[in-house]
Amino acid sequence: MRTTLLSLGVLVLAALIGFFWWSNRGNAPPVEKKYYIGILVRGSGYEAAVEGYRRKMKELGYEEEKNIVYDIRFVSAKEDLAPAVAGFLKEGVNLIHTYSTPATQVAYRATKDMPHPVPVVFGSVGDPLLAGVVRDFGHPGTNVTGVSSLSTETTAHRLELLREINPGARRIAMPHTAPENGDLAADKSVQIAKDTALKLGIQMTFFPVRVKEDNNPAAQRILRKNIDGMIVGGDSLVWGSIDVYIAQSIKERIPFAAFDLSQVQKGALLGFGPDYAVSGEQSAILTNQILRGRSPAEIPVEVPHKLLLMVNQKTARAIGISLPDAFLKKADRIIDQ
Amino acid sequence: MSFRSLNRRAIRQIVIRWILPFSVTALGLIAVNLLWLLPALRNIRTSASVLALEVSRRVETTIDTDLATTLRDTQRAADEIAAEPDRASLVLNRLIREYPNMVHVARVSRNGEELQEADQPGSMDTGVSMPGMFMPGTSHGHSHAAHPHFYIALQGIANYEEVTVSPDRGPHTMLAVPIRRNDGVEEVFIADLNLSNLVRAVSDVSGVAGHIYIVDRSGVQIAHPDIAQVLRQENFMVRSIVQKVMVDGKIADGLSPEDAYVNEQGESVFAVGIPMPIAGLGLIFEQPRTSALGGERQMIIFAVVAVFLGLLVSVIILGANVRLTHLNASMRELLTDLENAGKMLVRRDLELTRANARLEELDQIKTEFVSIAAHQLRTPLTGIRWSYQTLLDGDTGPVNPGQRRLLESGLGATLRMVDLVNDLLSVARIEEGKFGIYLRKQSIVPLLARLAGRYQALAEEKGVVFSSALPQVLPDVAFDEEKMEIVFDNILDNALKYTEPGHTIALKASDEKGTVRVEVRDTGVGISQGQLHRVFTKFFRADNAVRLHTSGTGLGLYVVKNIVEKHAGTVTVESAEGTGSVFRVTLPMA
Repeated sequence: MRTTLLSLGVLVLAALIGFFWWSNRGNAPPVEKKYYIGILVRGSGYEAAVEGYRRKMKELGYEEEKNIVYDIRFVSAKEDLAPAVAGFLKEGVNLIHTYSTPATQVAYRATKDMPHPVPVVFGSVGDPLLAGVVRDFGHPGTNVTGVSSLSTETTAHRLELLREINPGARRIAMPHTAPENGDLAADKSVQIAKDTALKLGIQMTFFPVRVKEDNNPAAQRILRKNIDGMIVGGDSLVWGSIDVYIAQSIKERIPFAAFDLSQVQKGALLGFGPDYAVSGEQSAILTNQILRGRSPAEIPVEVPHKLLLMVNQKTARAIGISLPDAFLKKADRIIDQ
Repeated sequence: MSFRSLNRRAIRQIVIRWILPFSVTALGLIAVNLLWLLPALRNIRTSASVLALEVSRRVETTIDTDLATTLRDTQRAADEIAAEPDRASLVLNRLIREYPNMVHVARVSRNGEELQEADQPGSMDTGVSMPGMFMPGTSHGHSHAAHPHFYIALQGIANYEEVTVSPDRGPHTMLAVPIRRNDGVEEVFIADLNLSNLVRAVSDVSGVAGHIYIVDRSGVQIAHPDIAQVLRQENFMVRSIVQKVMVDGKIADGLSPEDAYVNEQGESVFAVGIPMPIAGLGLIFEQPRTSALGGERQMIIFAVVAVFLGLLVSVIILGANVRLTHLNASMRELLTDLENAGKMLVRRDLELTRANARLEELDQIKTEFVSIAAHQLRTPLTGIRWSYQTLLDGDTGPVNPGQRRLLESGLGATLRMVDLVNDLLSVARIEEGKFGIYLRKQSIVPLLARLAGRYQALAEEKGVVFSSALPQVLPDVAFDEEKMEIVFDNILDNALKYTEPGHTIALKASDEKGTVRVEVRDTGVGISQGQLHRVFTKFFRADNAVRLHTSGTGLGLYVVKNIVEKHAGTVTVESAEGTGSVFRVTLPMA
């Protein structure tokens, strides 16, 4: 009798334990996974973006070497992009994070036909629709999403800014990637500059470059006697050698309307574009969404939270320009060192 | 047996009788209750989830439709402007009239400057649309070149800007749609919108407890029924449900444990969430847990009470069982005692039976002895009596007075001896069952009359007043005349014997209700109440009777009772000491 009762008790207990296990099996915490991220950067000035990206990722719970590993590759030559992406895929990365339109295009081409495409999050693409990496801003429809830099569309405004600080400016220089390179963002930037210049009555002088090494001679040809100002479009090849253009602009005392904060910090007189550190953080948020299981195809492409007008007063003094107070009031950042 | 082993046995008994059955019952009760409780709780949560999602979807649809309609109509307006730029002013004003929540609309060039604009009447001091004028918090005359959404529109994509909140306007946003021409997008239509509809939609949750709030992409609250809550600009991204909706883009149905949270008021809430992709927003509907899952607590309380009552019943049953076990043991002991007592009783019964048989045997011997003795005494006594009577009659010669006195005394003693012997013989026959009764149907009056005559004379001799009231005719009675004479002779003799001179004796006969009743009433010494019940027993003589007459057998009334009862009659006595006695003999009519 006692044995029967004991057996019954054990059975009931086992049944209860089984029941609780069954009813709570869905609540078990997932085993922590280690993610591998390949970061592909083409051009300069993205360091702040990458730093912002890693910082935000850490805030979101991704500790380096603990549950996330980054493979960061800075590439100048367009030909080096594909091998870098191939290297990432060989490593078996979970996601590729890119900066620049060509880098994003290469990553997209390398992954789009995979049975399970590796997601790509871009941190800076001037026009992702034009680049062909997404089908729609609201619903990318591909394995790519990210933060558009609006670098191409803002080209026009950079011209307007130069005109605003110097209404007499008529001759504006624009280094750009040569059309034969097939950098769609750079080509569109050129087109926008042409259209805007036409409206503003400005004569554009273009300085095409095909490879990185072309930048220095191109910069040397931008001289004060022929040029009243200089702009850049969404052009990663030019951005990659932005220092030589900045140096030339200071040397020749030419007002230079560049793109992002880092370029202004390096000495460009003006900048109109995003704060890449913030863009990097936005990219991290998108990465987090994807790593949590969301498909990039349904994550809307983001734009920078705000486009900043940045002024370098030191450069202004160096080149002998006094910026109007009204203009300075509009500036979001004024750098004076 | 050591104390330790006793202790172990007691503990084992407690475990077997109490702890084990109680534990098994408790586990069983809990298991059975869980079997219905968990599905019931799941159903309650599912129902709450369905209801909350329905409410949320209704609000989401309202907002979504509102935003989509606004975007569609604005895009139409932009298309109209693209087709007929000259009508741009009319289109802008028409849109302002149609949409009271549009504070400001403008046609914006590629460089971000407003080419034409229109304002909501009352939104500016003058109410006149004037490019270049600026209204705080709106985009009047402002360059749109710094707004990212403007550039997206330039790329041909209509889009809402991130929602912002200000104290004077509440939540508001900018809508930018491209003005498409054949040569591409060179202008953008900008609309500055107050999202009052958003606040209205989240406030319009009636019939259910709780409230809806809306968060933007960053998790910042941008709509709440209470605008003060919105102005705090709290970021709720820390809430798992907000992450699920905004980061994962998933619907939170409230069924996952991480969907629940404690809100800013410290209240535990049940919440569901829906992403709203059109403006990059998320809708969260939170309800006090006590309200949304009110039935859950009742179910749990019910289950706890059921388990408690079950345990209570089991304790009662176990207690009763233990008591029954004890009782059973006691009963077994009692049965053993009873069995022993029964055996003892059987032994006693056997002994008593033997003793009784022995007594009966002795009684028989005694009766036979009395019978034989009395019988043997009668003959010599008859001879003695006859001798005395012959001498007194003078048949053997004259006797002088002295001799006569002696002879009469001797005769009297002999007659008393004869009476004693007769009584003893009668008793012996009664007890031997040999007292033959020979019934004959006849009237009792002659017998009574004869006895009345005899005792009339004897009473006169003693100086007692004797009276008789005998009817001429009485119904016949079946009786043995010889035996019945013994009856009345004994009663009348006692009456005469214990009634003092001057007192009375009355003999009366009557018929009543199918019986003949004979009554002998005297005013003699009577019998005390304490001895009255022994009157008809053997050898009984009342104390006062003994004092008056030393002689007497005490057998007469015993014989009377036996004879009357053998005639199916009754004999009773009423008496009080000092006032007399009444003896009644009742015989059934023949």
